[in-house]
Amino acid sequence: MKITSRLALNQIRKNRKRTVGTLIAIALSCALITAVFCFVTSGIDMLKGILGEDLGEYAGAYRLILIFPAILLTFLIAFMSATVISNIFRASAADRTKELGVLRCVGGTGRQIRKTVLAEGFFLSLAGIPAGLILGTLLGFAGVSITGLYIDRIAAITRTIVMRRLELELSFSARPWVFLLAAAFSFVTVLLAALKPAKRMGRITALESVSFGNVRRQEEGKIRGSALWRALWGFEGELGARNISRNRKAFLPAIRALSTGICLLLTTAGLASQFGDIEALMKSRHNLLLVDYTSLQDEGENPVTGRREDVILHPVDADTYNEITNRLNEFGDFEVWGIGSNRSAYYVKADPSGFTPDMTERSDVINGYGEMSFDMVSLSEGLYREICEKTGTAPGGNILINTFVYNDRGRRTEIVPFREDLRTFTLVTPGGETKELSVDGFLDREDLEDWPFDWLNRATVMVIVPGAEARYFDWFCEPGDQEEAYTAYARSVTDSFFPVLTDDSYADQGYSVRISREDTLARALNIMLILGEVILYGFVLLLTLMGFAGFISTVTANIRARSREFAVLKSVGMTGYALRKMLYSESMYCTLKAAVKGVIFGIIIPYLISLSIRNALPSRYHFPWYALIPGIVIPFLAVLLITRIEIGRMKGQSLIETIRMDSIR
Amino acid sequence: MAVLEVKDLTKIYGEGEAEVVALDHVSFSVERGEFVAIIGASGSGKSTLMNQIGGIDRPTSGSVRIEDREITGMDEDELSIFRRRNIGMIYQFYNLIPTLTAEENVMLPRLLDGRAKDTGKLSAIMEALGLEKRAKHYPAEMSGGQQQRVSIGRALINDPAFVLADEPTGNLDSRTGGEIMDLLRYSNRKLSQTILLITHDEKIALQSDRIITMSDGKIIGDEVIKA
Repeated sequence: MKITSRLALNQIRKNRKRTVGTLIAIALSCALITAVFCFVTSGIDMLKGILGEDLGEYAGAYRLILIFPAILLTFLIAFMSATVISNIFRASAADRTKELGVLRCVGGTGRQIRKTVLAEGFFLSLAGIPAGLILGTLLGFAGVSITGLYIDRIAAITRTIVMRRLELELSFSARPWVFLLAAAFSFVTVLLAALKPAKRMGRITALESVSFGNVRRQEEGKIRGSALWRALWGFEGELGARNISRNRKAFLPAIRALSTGICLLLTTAGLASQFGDIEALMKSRHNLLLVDYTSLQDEGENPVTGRREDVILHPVDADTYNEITNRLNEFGDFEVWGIGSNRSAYYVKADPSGFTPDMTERSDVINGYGEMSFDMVSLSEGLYREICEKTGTAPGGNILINTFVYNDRGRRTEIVPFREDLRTFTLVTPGGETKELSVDGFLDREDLEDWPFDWLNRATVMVIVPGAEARYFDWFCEPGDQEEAYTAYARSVTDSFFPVLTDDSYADQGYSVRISREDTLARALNIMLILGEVILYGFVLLLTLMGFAGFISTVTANIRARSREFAVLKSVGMTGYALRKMLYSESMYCTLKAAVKGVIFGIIIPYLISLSIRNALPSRYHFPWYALIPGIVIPFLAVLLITRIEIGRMKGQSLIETIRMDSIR
Repeated sequence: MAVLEVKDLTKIYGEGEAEVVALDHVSFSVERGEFVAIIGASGSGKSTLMNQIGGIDRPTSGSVRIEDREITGMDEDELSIFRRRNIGMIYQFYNLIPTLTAEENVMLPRLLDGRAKDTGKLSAIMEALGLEKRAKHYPAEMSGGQQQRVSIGRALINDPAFVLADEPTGNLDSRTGGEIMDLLRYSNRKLSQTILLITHDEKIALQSDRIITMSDGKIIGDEVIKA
């Protein structure tokens, strides 16, 4: 065995604490990477179950959706673990100055010393990486299995609401490339992490080891203090800030690692708050039981005007939905009513003279043809009569739902769009034919509360037109404890009108009938969001812990490496209190630097993401105050605690021996 | 008047068979303005004596009085404050703070004491030490001789009762070592600064006014060589 390898093995045996620390860091890093890759292979297999072996037309996009976050996570893990491993080697370099100097004295070259350190990394990887692969497989298996349970629940729920049948099933799978790639990535991470300390150790001269550190080092850059820290902590604070500046090469990766951790934590919390908004939006205030009929629609083009013209394949007419309503009402002593919609047939000519001032500002509701979208709303007879009475409209009249709810850069905003003196709308078909629609009554927002109309506007103009055909028709009721029996009864009723003959009736027969609670979609979304948050928080927490471990090891190594400096300060009259003050100020200085960067980016990143989300949904960025506690307060307290422990350790050191034998680095 | 009075000072390391008597009932005193060299071979106890006098280590028995104040009974913080105000330390390996400039290193005992910068005194010391052009330089940017001059400045800044110099030329070439000795003599003559020089080098010791010779933890000679 070469002498460099033997020396490396001797170090591994001799320095057990450091060996164990490095092994844990390597194994954890490799385990996390393996787990991430296991998620990717399992996710791809799940997609294959849905989309077929070749993943269909968008195979590349699907793979990218899974692989891109995995690559991002892998690099984050590698960055965090490299910081920790590099710190361990760096601290070791500081401890071994004398020993390495002796090696130089007896003829060892810088290259040989570098090789010794890299050989240490190699040997530690030999043990750490297999352990990490095993741990990662277990972690991946547990993670995928838990996620699979959530996916099963989502699949069960969505079966009642999605029109196309989905086979969602996530089960653990890992390919040989998972292990090869994870091992290779971890190995490269370890070698890169050891490279810098190895170079540093390779530069140690024989003179340096025998002159107790009084060799001139020109590599240090400009040393900067901090006026703020001087004002806050006095001269001791200034000394602390200068020390951080002097050792910035060592501190910078640690500060970056901690700030990345804090940033990730705040970003995750910020995104979670936006998910919360989306979830709230999906929630129904009524949560009634819903029987939904939906017809397939063919997208086409009008041959004359060239405009999009959709054809509803199986529209439901007034006789049918009224008859179904009557049949459903025969079941029990609760009321069943229905609301339908047809947004395919017409547009409305925009006439700003009928707009309220609020609506005048909403220029985006008018398309290039000077028209607005239109929803012809149909109601079951009983509900229509009730609304006529409520609004004072004569039976047979059309009732304008005079409210417009829209997403104003993330805020759900509601206005009254049309003036009360509006009497007619001009309807336009995609073919260019026009017809007048009288407005005989107005249904205002406050009148809508009693019925499930609390959606964002599906169209700019919504008019209840008695007897209108519908593409969608929903029957609502609250059956209470008779839900199961009612569901079976409703299925039999709808089957007699719209028999569902195939698993995929929507595609095969041109319509679908689904029976579910209104909040089913919200529940499915809720499970997905919880799942996403659990996975995201899990990884982020582990990454943050790794970053924090790196930070702590840097702070600790820095204090230990400076025992001579502290002894000198004491010998020229620094009191124990002043020394503690200096060390606490240093710890606070680094943590604050990391926290400031982490918080700034942790706010900016989710805020920027929210800018794109809020264009589509009324969801805004909320500052995650609750994440600040684990994100900032805990690191501050932990760093203070670690500093205190290190100060306690220093008490046992002999001032005389330290001054005479150690060296200032 | 005695600036330093050492009486029956004993320091024993270890216990039982491993017991080592580093100082054995050592007594002497130093008057204000004296330049005293303490010499002895390696292991004679001179560094142990220096640590006791400097308040860095505690004796097993005996007393050390500096300007009529007993320091052996002081606690750590009292000793630290006492050191920065009354004792100037010069080490073989300079022991400067790497994050402070030459000027700030010189001012360190005053800065630790929370006292304002005495610009006049600082300039005088920097000039006397030939460090005016190096005032803003960090230790890493200076030669060994320059660093040692900074440490002399640090020892002198507070007008201490005495300066303790532990092998101050041990890490320097003979020419630079000579310059450092010149500076110490200069501060002794011109500023009436009391100096205790610890060395194993007789040639260096001969530049002082009085030589105390130590062997096996005892004073075996105390000779005034210059009146």
